[in-house]
Parts: sequence; C-alpha cells; structure tokens
Amino acid sequence: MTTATDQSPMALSITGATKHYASGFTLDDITFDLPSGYIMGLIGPNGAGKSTLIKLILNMIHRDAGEIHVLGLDNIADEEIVKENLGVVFDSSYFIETWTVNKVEQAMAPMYLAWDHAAFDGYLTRFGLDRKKRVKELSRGMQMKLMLAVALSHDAKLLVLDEPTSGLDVLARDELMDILQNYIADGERSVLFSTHITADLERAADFITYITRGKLYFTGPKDEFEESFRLVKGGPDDLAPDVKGVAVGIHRYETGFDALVRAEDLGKIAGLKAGEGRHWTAPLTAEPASIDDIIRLTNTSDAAYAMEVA
Amino acid sequence: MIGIRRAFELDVRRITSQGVFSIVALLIGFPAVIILLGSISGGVSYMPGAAIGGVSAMLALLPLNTFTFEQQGQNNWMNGVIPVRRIHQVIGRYLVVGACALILALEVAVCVGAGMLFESGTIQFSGLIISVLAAVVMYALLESVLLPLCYRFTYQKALLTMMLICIGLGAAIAAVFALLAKLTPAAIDALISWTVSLTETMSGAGMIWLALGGVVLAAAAAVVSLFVSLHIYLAKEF
Amino acid sequence: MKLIISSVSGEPIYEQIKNQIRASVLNGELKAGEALPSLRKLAKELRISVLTVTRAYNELADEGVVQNIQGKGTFVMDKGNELMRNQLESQARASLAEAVCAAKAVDIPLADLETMLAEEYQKDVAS
Repeated sequence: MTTATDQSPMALSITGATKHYASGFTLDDITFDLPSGYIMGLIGPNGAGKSTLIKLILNMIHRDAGEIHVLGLDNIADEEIVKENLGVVFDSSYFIETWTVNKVEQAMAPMYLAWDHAAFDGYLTRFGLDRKKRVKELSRGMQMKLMLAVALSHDAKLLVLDEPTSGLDVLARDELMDILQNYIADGERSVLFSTHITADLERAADFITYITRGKLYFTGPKDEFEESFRLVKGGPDDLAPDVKGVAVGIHRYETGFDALVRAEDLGKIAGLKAGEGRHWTAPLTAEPASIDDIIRLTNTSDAAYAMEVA
Repeated sequence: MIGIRRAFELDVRRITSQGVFSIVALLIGFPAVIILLGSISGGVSYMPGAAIGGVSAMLALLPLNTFTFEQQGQNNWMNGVIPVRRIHQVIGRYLVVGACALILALEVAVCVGAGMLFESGTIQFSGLIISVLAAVVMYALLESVLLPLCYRFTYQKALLTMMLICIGLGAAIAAVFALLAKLTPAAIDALISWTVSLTETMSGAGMIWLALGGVVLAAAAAVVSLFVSLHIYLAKEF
Repeated sequence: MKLIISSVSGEPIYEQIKNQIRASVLNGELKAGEALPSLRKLAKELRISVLTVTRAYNELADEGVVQNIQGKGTFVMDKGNELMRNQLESQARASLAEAVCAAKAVDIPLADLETMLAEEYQKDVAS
C-alpha cells in the first residue's frame, strides 16, 4: 500500500520556524510536514501562535530562524511561484470594502497566471454571490466564501485557511468541508487549515498539528493524536500520586477530576487495575479523549508547568 | 517585469476604488474650468499659478489613496497573498506616482498654454516648458518626502508629519532671515540684490542649466526616497 | 456494498469500515477480485479522513482480505473469503480451548459444557 508519506513531495514543510515578538510571545522552533493530497488541521487555543505561523508562511512577518518550503520551494527565495500556488483565506476579508464582487475579480485575475474565469464564475453561482454586491454589503460568511472563490480559481496547490469557519453556521461549515475534501480528491492538492472549532476536524482532517503557548505539542495523523491520549476520571479522593505523576493535564472539580494521560502511561496507574475486567469496581475509569479534551487539559495551569519543566 | 506590472495595476485599482468617474471628471474638469474662466476674462496672470497649484494638490493626494485603502479593513493583508514581491510592490507604487507626474505635466501644459493664448494669442514654448518643469520638480520633491512617511506611518500621521515639516522649514527660513536682519542688515540687502541681478542677467543657457539642475535634484530625491521606502517596507510586518 | 459510519458507537471509524467490509466479503456481497471504492472517493463520500480509510484498507490487506495494487486500487483477494473463514474458525477454536480450560479447572462435565455452548449459540444473534 502506498501510504501517505512516501515519495510524494511535501505540500508544506516547516523546519524550526521561530518568531520572537517584542511583546514577549515567541513561536518556538516549529517543525512539521504536510504531504501532498491531505488536509491538516492547525489547532490550539487563541493566542497559541496559529496565525503567526500562517503569516510566516506568507512572509508577512519576518522569521527569526528556520525554513519554510511550499511544494519544495523556499517561501522567500521563490516567493512569486510559491504564492501563485497558494490559495489563502483569512478570518476577515482582505478586499477593499467598496469593491464589488466583480471588481474583486478584475483586481485579482491579473495577479495570477492561471486565473480561471469560468471556475470563479462557477463558485460565485454555487455560493450565491452576486457580482454587483459590494464587499461591505456581504455577511462575514459570504466574505469568507468570496476569498475562498478567489483561492480556488487560480489552480493553487495548497490552500491555507486561517480560522475560516469562525463566522459560519453549520450548513456553511459543512459545505466548506465538502469543498475541501473535493479539492484534495485528486491527491495532489492539500489544505492547511487553522481552527478552534474542532468539530470541523473530527472527521475530515487527515493530520493534526497542535500548537500551544507558541510551542509544538503534536504533529501527525489525527487518529494517532486522539489515540495517544486517554481521559482518566475518578472521584475527588482518587487522585493518587501515580495519576498525578503521569498526567499531562488535570482538571479538578468538586466531585471528581479529569486527567489526561498518554496511552502508553496508562499501565502505570494502579487505580485502573483493581478488579480487572470489571471496570465498575475500579476506582478510576479511562476513556478515549476527544480533540477538545486534549486541548482543554493541556492548557490547564498544571499542564503549563509540566511543559516548562519538560 | 510581471511583478511590478501587477503591483502597478493593483494600485491603480485601489486608487479608483470609489469609481473612475469622479477622478477623470476632476482631472478633465479642473483644467476645463480654468480655461473657461480664462476665455471669459480674456486671460489673467493668476491663471498659471492657480492651475499649477490646484492640479498639483489634486495629483499629490491621488497616489496616496493607495495607502488609505490599504489601511481600510485588512487590505494590507492582500499584499501578503498576491504573488508579487515587496520590492516590486514599492516600485509599482513609485511608478504610479510617476504616472501622476506625467498627468500633472500634461495638465499644467494645457492650462498654462491656454493662459498664454488668451493673454497674448501665442504660446511661448520656453516659458511653457519652464512652468511644466517647475511643477514636476516641485511635485517630485513633495512626493519623495510623502511616500516614505506614508510607508512608515499611517496616512493621517504621514500628512501631519509633512505639514509639520513644511511649517518647520518655513519657520527655520524665517528665523534665519530674522537673525540675519538683526545681526548684519547689510547681508540681507546684498543677498537680495544678488538674486535680483542673477535673474536679470540670466541667459537662455542659464535657464537650461537651472532646469537641468531641477530635474537632477528631483531624480535624486526620487531615488533616495525609493530606497528609504524600500528599507521601511521590507522590514514591515502585517 | 453498504457502509455506514456511526459517530456515537465509540468504535473507531477505521474499525467500523474494516468490520463492514469484512462482513461484505464474508457474505459474498463483495466477490473475489472485485474493487473496493477508491480511497479518496470513499473518504469524500463518508466525509472522513483519507488516512482513516487508508488505515482500514491497510489493515484489511495485512489480514489478507484485500490486496492493494499500486496505481490501480484495492481488490478483494482471491482467497480472501476462504482465508477469513479459516481465521475465524481458528479464532473460535482458540476461544473454545480457553473455555474448556476454565471448565476443567472447576470440574464442569462435558455434557454441561455442551449445554452452555448450545445456550450461548442460540442467545448470540448480534454477530
């Protein structure tokens, strides 16, 4: 079986990307690869550094260290070719507000060698975008769709979307995911897509890159991400030292606690073993962790401390 | 180069964001009104001055619209999306200013020429060329200062800074003269009589040298300005 | 072939795909040599990750149920049906051996064990 990664060139390859801000925030040594033909979700809480990373890819801010390659090309040395092949959607419109949809096309078409008028027209119809409407008259969701229509109409090989779903209702989010899955169907195009709405990712994303506090926490197949953690639950008195020792994050509440534990550390917890095979007698239970659980529990204050020591 | 062409095109679209009509109407309407007034009053001496002043002010602000529109919403992010290098984005914008300077030259030539026709029935080409050159050189100097300011600051701040620079410059010159008048009143008289004699005795060749000097000065200012703008814009973060 | 994904069952999606394809092969709905839906098409239609489908197909290939032919697709193995039957048979036998072992440990006679087996056999309808 040809699995994901062999031979095909990387759609996006980031090595040691680092950016310091005077404010004190640092995006620290981020490294990951996105193979061609897949969707990667870039996740993390607000302020984690997702937008910073996307701006680094677009050379909108200066990186202090590291390398970024898009389709094997350096994003700065080969900026023009890279950007011909990039489709970009931000969380708010980057078009001039007084432009009509038609004028958006007139402005964007000469920017790209491969502009496809028929494709753009098709997306306008599909999205219900009126050529005569001005950008400022469009709802947030419609503005996103307009950016998406532009991003999809010049034969881009990599789509970069920064929080595209934040202003969308369920139907529109569903439609977006449909479009993205269609987009990668030929196996040569890829999507990098930052979001804090993890429901979007639960199904369609192939890879997950999880950033928190400016550091890379995980990158790899989504299934692996979810399977590499378990959620251990128990009463308030069951939080034994062995649980504390292996937990990467703990949330305590009055009647109990949730602890996030790496799957391989599960065996080290005695509370799970008592009454083996009959879970209801064991003081603790372990269950699969969702993406939200992982984000939530790796951002507690305990987790912050654990990350600093590590 | 394709990048510069794209940047130029995009900036023209930014400038005409509110519609092409109003801009064309102004560019044609202004000289038309001047000429109309001139034809009624039979040509008056203030006409060339008014024409140069009005058209210059209009065209001085026109290319700066690119900055105001970039400031609107997140339009500056567009500069990070399009396949155009930053260096080409800046050169493209300077070319837009260059195009405006050409339009200025044309408008001034028409207005001043019309004024001359109304006044004396003929056009003195040397005078016409000097008027056009003077307008273009002044324009180039003004924009050379304004553009880096706009790249560095917000549009409003840049205009404010420019005003302060003008006021400061005026105040400095006034101060120098006031100081001279107080310390050595004779020096002022000497200076004035020297300038007067210079203009009186200046030959055709002298005028050409002066014009050439102006052009060289304007070109030098534009080049320095371009480098300063590049330096600022290449370091800019969106 | 019917393939339905449940998002509340708690069973990983790739397991659901594997089980359903395996069942289709077993009941003869998918014939030997028949092609499975293409990876990307199936992922798109079920709106799940391409990697999840890849994993299900890979694991089915490891089990010998299907075969990946590079550039062409995934096909049901000639012996897929038979192989799986054998596998399940040996699995059943192993479980029985375990049951016998436990029965012997507490001296359950064979007759009683047979009754228990019959009971279980009739009770079990799910699979």
